[in-house]
Amino acid sequence: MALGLVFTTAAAYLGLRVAHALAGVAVPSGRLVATLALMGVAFLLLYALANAVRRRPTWMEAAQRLDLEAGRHNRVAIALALLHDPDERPFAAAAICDGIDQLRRIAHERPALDAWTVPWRRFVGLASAASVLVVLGLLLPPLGHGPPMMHRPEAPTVADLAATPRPTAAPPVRMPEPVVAPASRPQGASRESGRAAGRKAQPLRVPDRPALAGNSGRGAAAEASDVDYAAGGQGESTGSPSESPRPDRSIRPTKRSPSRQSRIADRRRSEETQPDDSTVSRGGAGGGTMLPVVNTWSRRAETTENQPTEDRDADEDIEDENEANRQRGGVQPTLKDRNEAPSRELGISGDQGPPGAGRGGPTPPKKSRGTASLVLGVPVPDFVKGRLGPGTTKVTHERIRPAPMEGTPATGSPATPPSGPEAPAHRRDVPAPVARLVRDYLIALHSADAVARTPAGAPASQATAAR
Amino acid sequence: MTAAEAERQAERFREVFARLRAEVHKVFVGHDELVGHVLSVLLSDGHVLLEGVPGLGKTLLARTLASALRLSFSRIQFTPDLMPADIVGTMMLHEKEGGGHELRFAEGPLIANFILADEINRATPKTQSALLESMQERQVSVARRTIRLPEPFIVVATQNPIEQEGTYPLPEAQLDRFLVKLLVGYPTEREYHDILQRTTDVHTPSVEPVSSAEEILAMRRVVRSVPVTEQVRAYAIRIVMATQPGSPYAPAAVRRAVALGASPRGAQGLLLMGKVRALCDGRFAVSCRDIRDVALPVLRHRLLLSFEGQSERANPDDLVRAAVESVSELT
Repeated sequence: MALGLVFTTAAAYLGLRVAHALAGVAVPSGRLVATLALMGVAFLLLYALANAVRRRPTWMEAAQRLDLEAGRHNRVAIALALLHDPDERPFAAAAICDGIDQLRRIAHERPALDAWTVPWRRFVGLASAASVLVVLGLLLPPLGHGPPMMHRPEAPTVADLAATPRPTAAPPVRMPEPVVAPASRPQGASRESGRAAGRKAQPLRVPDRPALAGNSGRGAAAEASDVDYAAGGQGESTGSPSESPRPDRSIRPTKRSPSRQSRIADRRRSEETQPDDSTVSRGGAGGGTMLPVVNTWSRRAETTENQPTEDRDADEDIEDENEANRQRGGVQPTLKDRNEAPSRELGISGDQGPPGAGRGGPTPPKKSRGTASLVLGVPVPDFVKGRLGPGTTKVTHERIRPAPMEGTPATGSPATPPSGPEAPAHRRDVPAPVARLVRDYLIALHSADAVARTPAGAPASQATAAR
Repeated sequence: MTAAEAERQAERFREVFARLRAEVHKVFVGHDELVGHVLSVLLSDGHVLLEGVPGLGKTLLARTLASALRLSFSRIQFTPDLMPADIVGTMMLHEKEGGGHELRFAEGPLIANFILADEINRATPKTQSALLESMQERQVSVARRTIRLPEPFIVVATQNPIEQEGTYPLPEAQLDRFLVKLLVGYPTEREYHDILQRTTDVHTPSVEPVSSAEEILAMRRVVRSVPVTEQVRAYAIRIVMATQPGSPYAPAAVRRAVALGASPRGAQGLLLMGKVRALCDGRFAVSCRDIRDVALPVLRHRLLLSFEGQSERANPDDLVRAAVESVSELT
């Protein structure tokens, strides 16, 4: 148990470190985690030790262990159980006497109870896994520097920016006015606050809140979101963005791994901005050419409707079966795997059936029981192919008596051998080495066949002779 | 009744058991454990299914046991054309003495104490099913008439495992009604000598009845009075549950190869056979060892193999052994 706890603690530690490295989840320092884990392990060990010392086996457990060791048909445990049985049968009394005799007989024998063995394999496995997890956790970036979202460097003050050598080639760039300001806050207020902040030359501190709904970042540096944080110095009070010091790469929010909360919030915002009751948006009111777009709610509804009915029925069947099993007090035998009922047909079948099936093999295919099977040898077609009408063509058979016809007889000519060149297939100009090679190959091939056909143990010569 | 009386009854039980066994062994050579199991079933109020290749003495064992008991004996040779009415009986038209006719019930061979169902798998399932009611409820129903069967009632059935052509394996409901399924094997070399000497000589041994129906019923009552403790009962239940693939006690082999495990009848059979075994061993209560010893004959025919089990040619005996080994005696 303690080893399992160590393993769990190591895994949790590694998980925290990974979460810290990836998503910036705040974790306490490594020393504190290790101290807490060790304290937990020590507590559990002490608890287990105290429990083991305090707990004593019951009389029945001791009797069962004694019987198991002595191998005397559970006589002691039976006697002990029947001693507390209110149903006093004569055979129970006899069994109790028998158990007492057995106890007297083995009173001087020291039972060799099972020695406790250390589960070395499990121990080594868990310890190795815990060690690997701890080492992996230690290989991650140290906790002392802090996660990117928790220990952000302070934003430069205006005085710091003024002290920073300004590149000469870079003229100050004014950010254009945003065309659309969807933020709830008035743009003028944002600008005013930014100017006021610039006049007071207060340091622009990044708020500790990790995620805020950001806008264009124009002067509202205090309300900048994670994404807008990098442009926090672009307000009017801080000058051009080229003058602001480049923030640390580690604190730049990456789009590849946004936090889960921000993703969920974005999704909710996108869903809330779309009308709930409409399934298809028709584009702009001015008759735009945009194609209708199905929003997510309608897609969701479509997904639910298009789900295969068979799958849902199968799931419901499984749930019903589980519920029925639960109500009947446990898992019931699965009759799905039951074999097909053997055929009871009388008759001689051809193949030998599987051993144990007892049916003498598969039966012939089932015969038809329709009317057609009753009239032997008379095929009864199901339908007749043809046209209802008489058609446009007609075949007429005329009966004409055969009559001799006049003609010139054919003249025969004597057969002469062909005088032309021999056909290429009949040429025998194969070189002698090739012919010998082919001959050897064929002989070897047929001799190999003969060996293969020879029974085990018989020489190949016999097979050749037989052939 | 005191403990001394119980000891006296147990002693009497052992005497009758040994007497029956000795009488059977006058004719049936060897297979002492097999004979012991058959006698245990007789005294447990159950039925026996003997399976073995031809020539091993299955029918001889049943006939010898029937001869050793003063019981009404019926032998039914199961054939493919046997009908249920041939076993149970039917209404027949009789001519009255004063004229006219009447229907009378003609009892079939099933209405007897000791039934030898020879080659039971050669009859059709329809005929085999005629035994269902009689084996479980000890009665037969013909038309509107219900006939109680005489007590004790025992069916000893034989079947051949290799001749499968033209045979009909017993349905699961029928198999489950047999308390045990015993496999009759080949005798040893020494037993061959005894068999040849007894069967090819001029003097053939004869069997005398050594027990009666009343004595058998009394012994059955003694068997029923043997106590079973909670530990042993739980052990038997867990073994039976371990043969069911959906049970938490089932080992991996059972989960893979068994489609249908043993029923509560299997647990009943374990306890009843264990009681007889304890009495024969001179003890007064059933132990876990008794349950283990009778697990194979009681449970082997109650397992229905799955497709995987059949394809792997799983042996039910191995599966029962795996189930027994997976269950611990300790509660």
